[in-house]
Amino acid sequence: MSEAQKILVSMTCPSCGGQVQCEEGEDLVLCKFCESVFALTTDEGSNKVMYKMTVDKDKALAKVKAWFGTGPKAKDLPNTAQVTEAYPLYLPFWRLIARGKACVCGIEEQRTGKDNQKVEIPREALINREYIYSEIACEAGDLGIQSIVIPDRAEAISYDDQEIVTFGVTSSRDAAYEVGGKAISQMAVKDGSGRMTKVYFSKSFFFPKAFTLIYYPFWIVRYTYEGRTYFATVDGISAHVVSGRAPGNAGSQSTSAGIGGAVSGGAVGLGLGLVIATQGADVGVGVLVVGVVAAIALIGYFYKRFRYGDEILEGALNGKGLKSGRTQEKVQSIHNETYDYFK
Amino acid sequence: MATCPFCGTVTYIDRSSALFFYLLPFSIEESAAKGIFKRWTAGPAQAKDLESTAKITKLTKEFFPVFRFRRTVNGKETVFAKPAKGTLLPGMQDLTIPPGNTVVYDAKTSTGGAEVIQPDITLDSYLPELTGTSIDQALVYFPIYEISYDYKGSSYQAVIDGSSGAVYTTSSPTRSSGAYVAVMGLAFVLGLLGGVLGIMVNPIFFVLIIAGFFAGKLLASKVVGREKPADAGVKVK
Repeated sequence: MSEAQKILVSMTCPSCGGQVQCEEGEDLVLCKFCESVFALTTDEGSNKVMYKMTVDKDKALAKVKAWFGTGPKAKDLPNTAQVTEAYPLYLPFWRLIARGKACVCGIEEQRTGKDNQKVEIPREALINREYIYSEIACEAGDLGIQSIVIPDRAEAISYDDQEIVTFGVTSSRDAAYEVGGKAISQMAVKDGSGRMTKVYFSKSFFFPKAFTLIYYPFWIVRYTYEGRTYFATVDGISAHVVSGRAPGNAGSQSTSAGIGGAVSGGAVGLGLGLVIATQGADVGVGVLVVGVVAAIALIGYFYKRFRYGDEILEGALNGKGLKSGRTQEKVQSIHNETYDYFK
Repeated sequence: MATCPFCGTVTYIDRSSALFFYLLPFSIEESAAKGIFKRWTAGPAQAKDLESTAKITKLTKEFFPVFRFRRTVNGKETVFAKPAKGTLLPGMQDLTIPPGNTVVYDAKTSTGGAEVIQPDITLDSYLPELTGTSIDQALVYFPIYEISYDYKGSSYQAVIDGSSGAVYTTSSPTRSSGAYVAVMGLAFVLGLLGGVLGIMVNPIFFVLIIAGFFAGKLLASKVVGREKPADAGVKVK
């Protein structure tokens, strides 16, 4: 992630009329022409920024068609799915930029020496990073979108709710600010405790820099398959498919049942056979332990694919179905604003 | 603040005691709502034959009223949603206002043929129980499709959010996980026998692991295979 993901706003200097740019989160702006310094204030503690839709309908549909062929979706989906509608809309997001600070103390366990002896090394981390928290400002419903990452090339425009369908804000600004601050504080602790096996002390807080209401563009594409209606959501700037529902692949479900059952059974059977054949020798017990662990992991993975593979869910969608792809995290860190200390 | 376009007079509007009326238009057409219901009936949690057997007996397009209160509680803005009508409809109990393109609701607003359900609970009845001070309050009509359907002689209800397509139900015919566990269990037992006998008796028995795979795959295809409905769409009486 780069610094460019912060919003840049061009303004006219009230003293000399020169063009000045201020960055999201700045309270003071210096005019490079007349060297005037002026303070920025916002209404009700949050700005309202809209981003320009740069993906057209054809590109959005092409992305969805390409998406049909990815993951464990129905094999014939690319050929048989029929797009019934595609429309653009803007969704509102609360976006908090804050410096997250944390002091984390704990221990890191390491194995050393011939005896593989366990030693505990005291660790201390001081985290000082900038984070961006974003959260949808209305109920997500069945859209599967909770958070956004604003691409570098995104262009901020003045807010206009008449041009494209724009979903209204229904969540509380203060609640979002509080939740965002807490999430950033927790992330700072998490970043600090990455190397620690046990954490004995942690203290964290956040310094807010900017709190913005973002209107971000998406394409909603609805399509039918065997008379059922599914959908996919396409990012209106990056053109990535960010969420969607799709029919699963029955063949893949059946194969999962076969592999998961037979291979895990075989792994346990091999271990068991070796234990009996070697009359409880270490090698046999070792293979059995590895086999059981592998079997548990295999059964867990393949059972999910078999049991819930009728429908594929991408993005932050609720309900039964096989989760596929990755869901956008609400907190992201800006690494070039990092001043961490680890000991 | 509102400015009169004719005389330029600026008027301060105290939103705290006025009641505003809003409506979320339908984003989903009736045919898409039926398709969403059909997709839901084919989901992994639903009875295997629900998609082919369920018959929609009633489908109503309507706007459901909910009060939205924005209040300052302990210095922070808090949003409360309360029902403006008593209901047992699925999904209406949690009272989350769905996402939508909120428009002002007045006599000129087009409802697109949908029935607007009138509130039967007054705003005043909620005010004593709400904490904090009012910022604004509104009656929000949100779009729903109310669906009644029959399955093997029993009647069920579902609600589809007309703006995002979310499906809400209370009780519905579900599918047991027993068949799934049994199929994987059989494949596991064959694999286990193959492993044990292959080591202890003869490596030829390793073939049981492969047999377990094919047996599991074959039986699994019966479990996940679904009966095709006679017509592509959901049957409507």
